[in-house]
Amino acid sequence: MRFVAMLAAAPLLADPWVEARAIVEKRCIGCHGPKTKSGGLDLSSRETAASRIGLIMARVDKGQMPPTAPMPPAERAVLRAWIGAGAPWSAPIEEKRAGPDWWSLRPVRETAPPSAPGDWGQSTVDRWIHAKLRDNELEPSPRADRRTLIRRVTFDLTGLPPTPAEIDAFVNDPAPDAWERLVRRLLASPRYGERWARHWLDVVRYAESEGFERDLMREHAWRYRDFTIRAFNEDKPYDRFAREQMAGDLIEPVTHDSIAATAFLAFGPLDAVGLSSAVPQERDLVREDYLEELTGVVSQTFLGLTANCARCHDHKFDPIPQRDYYRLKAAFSNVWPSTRDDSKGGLDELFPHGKPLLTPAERDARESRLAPLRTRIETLAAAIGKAYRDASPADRAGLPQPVARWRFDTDARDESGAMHAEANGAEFHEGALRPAGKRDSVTISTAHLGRTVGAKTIEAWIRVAAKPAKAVTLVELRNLSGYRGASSDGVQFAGKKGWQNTSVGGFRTKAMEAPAEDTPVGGRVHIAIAYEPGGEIRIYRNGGLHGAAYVPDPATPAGRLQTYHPGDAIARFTVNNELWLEEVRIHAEALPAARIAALFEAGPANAPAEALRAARVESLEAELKSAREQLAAEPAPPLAFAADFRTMGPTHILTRGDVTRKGEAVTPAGLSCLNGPAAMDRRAVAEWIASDRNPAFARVMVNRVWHYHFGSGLAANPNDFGFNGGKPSHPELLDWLAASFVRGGWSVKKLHERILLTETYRQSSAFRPDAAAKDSDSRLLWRYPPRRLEGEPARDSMLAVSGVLNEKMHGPSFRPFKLSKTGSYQNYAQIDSDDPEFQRRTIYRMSVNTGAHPMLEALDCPLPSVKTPKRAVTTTPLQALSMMNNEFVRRMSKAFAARLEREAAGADARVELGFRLAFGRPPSPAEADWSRDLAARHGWDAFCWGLFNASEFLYVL
Amino acid sequence: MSSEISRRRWLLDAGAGFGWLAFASLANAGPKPHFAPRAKRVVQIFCTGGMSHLDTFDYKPELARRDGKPFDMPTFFGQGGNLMACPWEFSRRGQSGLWVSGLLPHLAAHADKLTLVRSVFAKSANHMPAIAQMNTGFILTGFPSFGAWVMYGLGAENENLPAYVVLQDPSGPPWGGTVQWTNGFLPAAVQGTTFRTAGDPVPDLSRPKDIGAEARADSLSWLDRMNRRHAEMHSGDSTLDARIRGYELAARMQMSVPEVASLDSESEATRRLYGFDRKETEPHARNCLLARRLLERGVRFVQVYHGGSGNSWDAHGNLRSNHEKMSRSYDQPTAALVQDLAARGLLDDTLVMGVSEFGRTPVSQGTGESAGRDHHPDCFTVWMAGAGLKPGFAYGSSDDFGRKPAENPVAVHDLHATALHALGLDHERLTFYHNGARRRLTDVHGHVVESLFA
Repeated sequence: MRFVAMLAAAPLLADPWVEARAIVEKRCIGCHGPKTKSGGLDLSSRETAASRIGLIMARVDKGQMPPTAPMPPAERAVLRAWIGAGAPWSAPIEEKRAGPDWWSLRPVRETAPPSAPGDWGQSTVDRWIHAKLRDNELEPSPRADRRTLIRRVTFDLTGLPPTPAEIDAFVNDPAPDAWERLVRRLLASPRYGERWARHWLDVVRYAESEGFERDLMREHAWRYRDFTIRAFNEDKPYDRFAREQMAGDLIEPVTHDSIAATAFLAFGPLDAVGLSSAVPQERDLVREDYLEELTGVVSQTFLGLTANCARCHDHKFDPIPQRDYYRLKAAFSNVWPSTRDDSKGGLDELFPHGKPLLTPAERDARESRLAPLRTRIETLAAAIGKAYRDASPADRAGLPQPVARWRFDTDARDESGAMHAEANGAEFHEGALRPAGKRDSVTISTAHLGRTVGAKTIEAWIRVAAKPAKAVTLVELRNLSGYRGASSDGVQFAGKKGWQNTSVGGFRTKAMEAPAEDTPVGGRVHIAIAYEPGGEIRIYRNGGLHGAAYVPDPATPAGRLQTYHPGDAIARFTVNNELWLEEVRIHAEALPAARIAALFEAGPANAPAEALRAARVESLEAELKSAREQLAAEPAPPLAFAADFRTMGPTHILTRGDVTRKGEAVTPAGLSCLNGPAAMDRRAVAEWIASDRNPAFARVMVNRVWHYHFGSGLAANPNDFGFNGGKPSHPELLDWLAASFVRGGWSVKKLHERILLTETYRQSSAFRPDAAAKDSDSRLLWRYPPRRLEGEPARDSMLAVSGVLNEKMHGPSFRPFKLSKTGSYQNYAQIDSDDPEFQRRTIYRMSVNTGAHPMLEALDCPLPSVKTPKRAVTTTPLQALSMMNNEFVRRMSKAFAARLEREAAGADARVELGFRLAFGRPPSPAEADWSRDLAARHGWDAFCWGLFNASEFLYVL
Repeated sequence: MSSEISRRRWLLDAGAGFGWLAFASLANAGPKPHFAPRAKRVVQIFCTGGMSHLDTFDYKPELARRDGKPFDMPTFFGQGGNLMACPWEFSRRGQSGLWVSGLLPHLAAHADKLTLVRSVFAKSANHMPAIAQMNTGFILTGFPSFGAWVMYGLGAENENLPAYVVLQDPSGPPWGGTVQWTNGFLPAAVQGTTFRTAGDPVPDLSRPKDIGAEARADSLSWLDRMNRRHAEMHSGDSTLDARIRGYELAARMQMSVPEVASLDSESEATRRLYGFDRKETEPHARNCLLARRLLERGVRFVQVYHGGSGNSWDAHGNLRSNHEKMSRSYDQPTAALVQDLAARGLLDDTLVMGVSEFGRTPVSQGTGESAGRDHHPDCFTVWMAGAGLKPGFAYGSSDDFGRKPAENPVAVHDLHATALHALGLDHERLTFYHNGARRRLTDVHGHVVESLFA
């Protein structure tokens, strides 16, 4: 054992290679190993390195090697001493990385199974297991009794305990195929999908909140969970199941489930605040981290390879060049989580939302239904607008012509350009835009600006509806790029401070020393702000200069004249119940005082209210109203949190993974170590990954399934089949399972049967010291490894045993939280209640990052947004405290007690029923005595609390 | 696999392959440091929001000279103004002559006990990822926190208390909440346990109110008999024994946790030292005094948050009023903790760390009276004490504006490597295999800053 060698390390120091080897391994061998041989140098053994030893020290001393950072002096001294001692290689360095011939990269190969040595286990699984046991001078364990078996397989396949009736039926079933029928009954149960979907959700880091600081709820994410449950219950072929998750929006037939399936790509935690940083590099870094996580999930989930480890450099342990990482990433580089479409609102942060769940056919049908309606609305609105405008006085000749102009008489269309807006939440009332209904304040946004605007004048006619007191930015011209640091200008009423220019960060804003606004209620006021190329800002009220002209500090970030860009800038209008907008104009020049005075003199272009009333075309308006109502009555499509696919630029290799160091551009491709083809798009990459064109895809899944049946995979690390993941215990068996999985049409249920209808699975779990001495954790399966229930089946079993489990399937998750917000952060405070919704299975509990249930957490339920191919199983005092005192356990103990009192008469019968429900067996006479005694003194809930806390309840043997 | 890793793995797997010994039992059979440690325990005081280095520990006369002058630098909110002088007076303190501003008079009085690192830099300019980096070394979530690594490396000293305790600011959790003291992919047993200031200090610590002591005692005795019988029938499966032990430890925790959390037994003088007598200092004083009591009783790692996401040092506007308010509640209790640890002889083998997720920009955010400073991860100061560090010593320096490190830059990974070193742990050997990589607190980086140690 190495352990022993370590303890005895001191005397070994006489060999200078002991210390030198550690340094060579740490600093050199990654590039100068037997497979890498960078510069032709292989430092693993004397033979391969001998001729170049003399050069090593010189290059190290010059700081040329290692290339990343000079070697610390202490280490150099060790190397020098070793070379001085004649550079002995007392033991060559073994290869510390996988080559292209690594087991998991080789084609799946079927080997004829060894013949069964005795009459134990004739299935292929059994023959391989038995042979390996024999090789290690071990024998399998005898078959477990039927009570144990039905409890084991029922938990395994459904995550719930068998009922006493089910146990009795199986125990007393004389038919030779009793086991087969039991397994098939369980696989056909809807509870099966709920159990196995939960395993899958661990792997794909299913998270119903975005993580990071806001942790906002992804309220439509449950559709992915339902897709998964259905896929397992319906035995959807695994290749299709996988393809849908990577490209369900593209691969026919596109269904609601296949669209929801793409959420797989989008579940990673999202740093939305970082993504809206004003520093472009910060944004790029956040985005790159998101894509690294995503690329890692794809390659680990389906290929068992950690391609994400090759972001900064070639993979240290596996044959995955850095380039391959970027090529795989390229296939998914346009993935975003679905967000609310607030781009027009100028909100620069991403809010989780859903996308419409419409198949292409449904989308087409909907479009062909709605398009004529939309056209009709557009035509009617334009006709009505024209009627109004015909009633308005024409612009007097010689007045400046704006580049954008809105008259809020009947719509918010831009008459000069294309910056149209919709009156969402606002309404047009007697020639002015005002909040609709009882809302205090409403903001509407326009489409993008169509041309570059530098020097400018922003002009607004404002109706004073009530004596103004509240601050409001009535007009804002704003670039969207630059996020929080984006420029903006516009007309702001600042309460007591009166009229001023608005700006991001206040750098271009100055309080005007001017009289308070005194326009009588019902009157109108004209504000124009001129922005000179030199930076000067002048504000005019009713044609006269308002306060003094000023120049913002040019040293501040937004101190100079701001330029607004086509395709980026928008205008936003905000009205409240004090100030309404009648008309807004943007001119592409800083108008001089006289021209602004002339604009004021000319008055608003809107017709007076009486003229507008006269111009009303009631028939058209009625028609428009009905068309709008018809559109509004069209039911909104259902929403699913899924992947959004945006248009993105090309993917570049990043030197050392650094977003500021872009290298060569690459196109999508599969991993070269698996012979992945090149020049593919996402769909083609998905089709290559989820197929038998690579050997990893089938192997990884059969190993996962094995892992969940036995607590440990044939390969111990389900997400890593690379060098670090180690080698499988039974490579031939793994390959046979993979090959028969493919042959069986990727049927997961058939795969379960291949594993469960064996003697291997039915072995007793009894501990055997002799066998444990050879194979302590039973990796060779000399017994069935006993296991503790995970958090979900523990909770679900308490509900089931107490008789209060609500078996309602599918649909939105139940939310056992009191929700509140701190700023834009979501808080989830736990609540427990006997609301039937809260008594559904745990898979329907909303799985948010900061809303973990203390008991589930103590039972090792993982953080949702972290991929968890293998759960930890720990035993801690906090776990004991949780099982002892948690409110849920308390509530369940009472419900269980009530059930016993309801369903059984007399103490003996109740004890008996309690044991049968919780442990699947009757009590021994002694146990019955203790239990009756406990219940007599402290009530049945004390007894039920004991049952839930017992090891026998939580362990499956 | 090295013997180091296999030994820790063995402890985790507890032989039977499906569990771990109750973490507290590591006290006896537990992992050992790699080499002789300088410190046995850590207390970290975390100022959330970003305490300004320029207004506390990093004296920049040039900033005062160029106050109001333009300076070109990108900032997180993109609203960077001109250079802004520190509104507080700096002076040399103690024998060592360390510069500390007037914002922190109490800590300044202990300057000769402090070790400053004035050239720390971090990766993210955003709170949650930056706090995560200070806690876990990574800006993405899911990695084990510093305290979890320390527990994984050293185990517990006191069986009857959680070994890694987190004390939150009464105003609420920091950005990211529980993610900041997670075990990540390490076993759940090494995650931080939060002690709450109201109600049960630990969730589910007390038995429900409607269950009497006798009923609980009898139920536990029934359970113990059942579990022992079950364990005997399946002898050889050590997790079943560990489970029985878990209940015993839980019972002891039910005694020891309320004892440690009760501050009533402390003398009036001690309470006054920490600032129990003033409303603004009292909340943090409670946490600092509780931290000392926990450390005294052998808790390995205590993290005290000063500030949450709602009430923090995040002075985008109103630097002056924000930092004055925050320092008033922070300074005295924190200084008292240092002083108290020293007086009790605990400072020598306790590593005290005063951190923040980042510093603040030399340029203002906004202008005038309401000017603040933006997030600044490129350079800031971390203070430490105890643990055989050089006292009254400043390491590293920033440029004239405190914008970037000028000499001896120290990455967050270096801080972690150095802290582990103080605990006798080699950051390159403290590893855990997860998802394809042998993970470390320091990722693939980190250098021990040897010259911090005396």
